[in-house]
Amino acid sequence: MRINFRNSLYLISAGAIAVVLLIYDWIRITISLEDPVLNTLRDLFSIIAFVFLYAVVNSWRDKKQLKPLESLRRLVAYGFFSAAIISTWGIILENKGNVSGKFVPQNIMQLLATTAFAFGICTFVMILLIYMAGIIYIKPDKKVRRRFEFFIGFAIASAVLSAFKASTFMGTLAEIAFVIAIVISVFHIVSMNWIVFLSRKEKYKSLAHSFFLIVLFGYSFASIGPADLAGGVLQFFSVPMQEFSKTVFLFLTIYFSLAFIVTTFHIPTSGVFEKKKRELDSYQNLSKVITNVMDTSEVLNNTVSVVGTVTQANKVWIELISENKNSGLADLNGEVQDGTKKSEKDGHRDSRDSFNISATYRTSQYELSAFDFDKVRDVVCTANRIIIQDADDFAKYELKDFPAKSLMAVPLAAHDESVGILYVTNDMPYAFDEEEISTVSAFADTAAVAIQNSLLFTKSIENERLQHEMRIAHEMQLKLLPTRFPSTEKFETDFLAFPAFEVGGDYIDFLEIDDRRFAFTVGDVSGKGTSAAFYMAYLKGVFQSRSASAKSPAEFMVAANEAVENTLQKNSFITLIYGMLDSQTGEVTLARAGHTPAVLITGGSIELIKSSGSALGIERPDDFQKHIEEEKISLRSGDTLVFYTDGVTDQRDPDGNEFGEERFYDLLKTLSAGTATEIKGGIIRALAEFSQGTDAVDDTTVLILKWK
Amino acid sequence: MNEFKVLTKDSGNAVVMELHGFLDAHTAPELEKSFTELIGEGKFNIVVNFDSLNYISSAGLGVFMAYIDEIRSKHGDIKLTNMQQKVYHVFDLLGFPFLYEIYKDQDEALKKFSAQ
Repeated sequence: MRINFRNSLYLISAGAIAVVLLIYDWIRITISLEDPVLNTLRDLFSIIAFVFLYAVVNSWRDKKQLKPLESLRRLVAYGFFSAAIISTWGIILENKGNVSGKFVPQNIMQLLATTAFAFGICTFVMILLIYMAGIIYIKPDKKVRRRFEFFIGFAIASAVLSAFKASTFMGTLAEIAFVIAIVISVFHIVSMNWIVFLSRKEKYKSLAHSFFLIVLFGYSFASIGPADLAGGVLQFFSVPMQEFSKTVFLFLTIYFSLAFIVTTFHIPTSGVFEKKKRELDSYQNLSKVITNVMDTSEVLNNTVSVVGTVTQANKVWIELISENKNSGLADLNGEVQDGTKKSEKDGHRDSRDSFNISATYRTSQYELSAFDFDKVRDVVCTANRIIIQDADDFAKYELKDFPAKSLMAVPLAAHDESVGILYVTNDMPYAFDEEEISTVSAFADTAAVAIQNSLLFTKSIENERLQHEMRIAHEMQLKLLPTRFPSTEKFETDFLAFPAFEVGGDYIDFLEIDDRRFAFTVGDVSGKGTSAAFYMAYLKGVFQSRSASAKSPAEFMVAANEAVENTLQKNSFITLIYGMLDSQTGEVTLARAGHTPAVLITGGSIELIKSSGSALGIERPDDFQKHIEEEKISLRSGDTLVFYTDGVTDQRDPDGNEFGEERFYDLLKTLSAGTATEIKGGIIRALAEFSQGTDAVDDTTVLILKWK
Repeated sequence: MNEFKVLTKDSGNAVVMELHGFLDAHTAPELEKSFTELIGEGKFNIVVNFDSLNYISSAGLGVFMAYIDEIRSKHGDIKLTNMQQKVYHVFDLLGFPFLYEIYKDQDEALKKFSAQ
């Protein structure tokens, strides 16, 4: 009890009024004073006391919102006390009244007892009303609360008006107010939604409580009328309070009689209601759990187990679609694919895509692999979902011996893209009604979004890892390139090497064999990307180790062909051009294995050197040896020798035109007067200008040798 | 995107594969499929007509290299015909003429097969 200043003030005021009333009553019984006007005033005055009492009781109650059954329990308790007080007081003061049938206390003791009884009963009535309000105010339903407030209003009106019942007009008004209050009580039957949300067990408890309340409140109501014992006692003290108590007890009796009936009618449907509630809870849980999880298998397993338990399914499983990949020789070449290839209709899948069972509930991949679900998949992929309800249906979909009597398959689709299929089966035929179907579909939609998210998440992590590794590979490959090319008083060199992707398959290298001989080479591994880069590194090893010992370029080529033949795949090859410069004489001996021709710019005109030789890895070794040729050229002052790869000529502009050999050779002609470095710069500028930002399709490499 | 397709026609004791469009890494599997099918049908005398082929990349060249050994082991051959200048240039630089018979017209290749 909150003992604070306000409460104390109220209590004292109530107490003061009680004392005043006591004195007045004592005078009343002593001199048998029954003045109607004075009585009316007295009755009105008594109301004030009870208003204070209400204020105290209201502030004392536990402000916490109670659950319905908790309120019911308290009502039973306080109802029991009220009934007990009513019955005992009634008995104690029985027949102590006078002859006219209306109770009048005979002496001071009885007067005190009467006053105490009145305050007691009214306090309990207040308490009961407050707990009743607790039930009414459970849900923020304005209509329900308003209805109750109206009842209270009319109950109070009836009580106040009854103070004036000396006047028959007022008395009639009081009666009318009372009737209205009771009618409103009956209307409370539509304000009993709290019953619907009780669990089955709680509903039975509520029935029991209601029964007791009907008995207790009914008894109280019956004993509180003016002609009854307890009622007579109360009435002597305060007619309004007696009216009010009567109205409240009747309300409570009616309310709980109705509650009893309503509960009875709701018990049969509580099973379905609870099932629905469980589904809703599971759905919320599923949403929360699976959208928080980034691990795809966890999402999948959660989904099948939730769907399985909530729908009480026989078996549940999910198939995920794995995207069509371009497997085959093209892949082995190392050429980079632009992502995976989708089936023709965007987002639409068909049974040509491969479906993998990714999560199961009460079944296993082994059990399911015995059956072919292609027909089911076809329908799900084109239509929306499929329901198989009986044995005939199962036969139609070629699932005759499948261990279930109903089956439902819904697509898992989000953002207009299918990620898979959810299957649910049941032990009974015709198990999937509209309600079940919409529940499972709702689960499927949520799951699809979560699955997609987790797949994207995984992919983006992989991408990051891949990019990181590519960066490393790129840096390592840069280290394999020569840092600079030699320049002496006799000749100078320069080069450009741009891989098309992070790592490339073009090779360029240089080796000082002795103080007059220099070997230089440019190569192109077929394909692009990481596997081409591996061959490039391998080729470097071959070049660095073999060119010193080779007596001639042709011999080197034969050795190179032998070296790579075993490691190259059937469909791969390497083109190579190799030159050996004698820096004393200016003589260059060349060999060309399938590579783009060497370009000699001499005296302002172009000579192409296209000596015979097939690419490495194409011919058998002895055939290769037969066909590989050497060519000797003598460099004169100002001559330029260029090795290049087809990345130069294959470069495209935004309209798709090739840079082409003609344009390249013409360009070299115009640049030939410059130094090796100037020529290189000119080539880079020309390519940049031409391509206008179009991506290179192949690795681009140029080696420039200028004889001074 | 670049299109590619293969049209196959029987002709005497050989089969003519007409290549249309662009042969690169994306479309190479299509060509592989055709070769696999013909081998599966026991057809090892193959003439490849390049008349309608506009472009070939190293991936496309690789397809021929992948199947030639098997086909020659079965006493068949892949003969290449009707190449446009650009396409022939690519084959020539690489040294393919050493390995494959390349003809101006498919009739010459077919004659070679029927003469066997």
